[in-house]
Amino acid sequence: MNTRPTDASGHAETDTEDAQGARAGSPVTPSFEVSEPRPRAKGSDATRAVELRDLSAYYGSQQAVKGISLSFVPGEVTAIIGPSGCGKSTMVRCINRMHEEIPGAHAEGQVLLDGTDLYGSGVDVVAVRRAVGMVFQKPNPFPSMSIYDNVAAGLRFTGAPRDTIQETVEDALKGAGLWEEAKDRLKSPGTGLSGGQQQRLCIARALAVNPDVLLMDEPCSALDPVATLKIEDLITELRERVTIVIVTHNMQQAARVADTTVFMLDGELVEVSGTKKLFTNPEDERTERYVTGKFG
Amino acid sequence: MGLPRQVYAEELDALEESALGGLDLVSGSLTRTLEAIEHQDIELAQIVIADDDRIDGRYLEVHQALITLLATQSPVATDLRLISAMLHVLKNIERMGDQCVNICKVIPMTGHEPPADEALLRDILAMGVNAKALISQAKRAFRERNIEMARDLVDRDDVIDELNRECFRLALEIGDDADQREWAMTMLLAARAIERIGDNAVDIGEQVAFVVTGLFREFEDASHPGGATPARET
Repeated sequence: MNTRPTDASGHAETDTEDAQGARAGSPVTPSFEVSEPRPRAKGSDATRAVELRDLSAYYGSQQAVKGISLSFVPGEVTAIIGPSGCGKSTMVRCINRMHEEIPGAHAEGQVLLDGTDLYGSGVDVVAVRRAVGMVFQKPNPFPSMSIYDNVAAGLRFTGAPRDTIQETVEDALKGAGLWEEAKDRLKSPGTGLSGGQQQRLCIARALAVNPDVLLMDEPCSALDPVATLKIEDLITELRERVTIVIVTHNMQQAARVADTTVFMLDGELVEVSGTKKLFTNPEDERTERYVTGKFG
Repeated sequence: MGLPRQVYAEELDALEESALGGLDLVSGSLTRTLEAIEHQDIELAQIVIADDDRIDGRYLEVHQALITLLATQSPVATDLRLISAMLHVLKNIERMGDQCVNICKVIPMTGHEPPADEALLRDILAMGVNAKALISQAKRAFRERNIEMARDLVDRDDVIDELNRECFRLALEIGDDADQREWAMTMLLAARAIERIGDNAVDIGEQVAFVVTGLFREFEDASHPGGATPARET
């Protein structure tokens, strides 16, 4: 129910909207500045805390997320696990307001980014998506663009100067662990990269606009084990810079990369625990049954 | 062929049965060891020593199968705790088997007809009977996931410890006869080995508590007598 094909073009839409907003001199001022100096989480560069308050999400009249309240800690990786259709992807897509792009879909409740309700009136959706980046299950580089342009696209829409863009692209590719592999072929098409490289390119693209939060919806499900481990290493490094929320079906992946793991079932939160605890001694019997493979 | 997850669950059950079956092997070994002590039966002692290969074999077989499950099934939660506990229990079983071997190795040292002291012999045999009961109780506590029964092992182990101290007193007072003193010293080694078997049974009880609660707590801490260590998540 929550795997609409529009996902893959989500970033393209976002960037297009960004461009239009910028060109039109968008009258809506975001209630937070993406580039403002940010409070630093202790021991890390990560910044903004995300808090869901009584968040519900619907597809028409069907409720996929049922009044969830949850905090994502800055500088930490939070994994969302649960059986297919439990609402985990839907919940995550509410955080950057992508859920509402689906016809008939809407969300209720609050998503707070450092106390600012992203669903509040006057909030610029484009700014939200710049602050809350997203990486999808299937790598989705812009097909007609080079590696460089893929990463630079979002920056160009903001009207950043050329030399700044160049510097940022390099930083983003380095941040995504792709620089060494891509530096000699920056003008080659992004789609010419391997699946794992393409996914890191998408991560670089998301990083280029300096997001505060990075949502990853099963980012490794289409990747081989080596590419998967590279992404996981990357997640571990990036948690110093951004708050990461990762949806995964791979419980071992959650166990490897996440500080906190959230188990969802039928649109509801069942358990939120430290990852170590959830996988060794879960509180809830349903979590126990799911992680040990007795259902789901 | 069943569904993989079902096969895994069945395999885990079977491995638990096999691991706990190792306690039956130890119990049998201890029975023969006590008989060898009581009757100074050197041949029987040698059989116990040779038979320890069966206990070691069980240890290796189940240990390897558990490692394979860890590698192939990525167990978590209760399954993971159970496997971790079984790895501990297997080590306890292997050590208890070795303690029987240790006793049986010293039995021949005193010859075929040593000048045994009745009281000391009686206490050692009583220790052995109590240790066998502990092994049996540890097995039942593990199988039934019964923390109370597991914790009760500590009290029953205290009986063994007290008998061990009594053996020590009797050995000190055994008199001046050199042969009898040598026999008594040998019996103290046996008493010490039985006392360690009791401790291993208590350790198994601690693993029962870990499987059930996810918290590891030593029921009794040798370095802090009289009190259990604080529970720790592992």
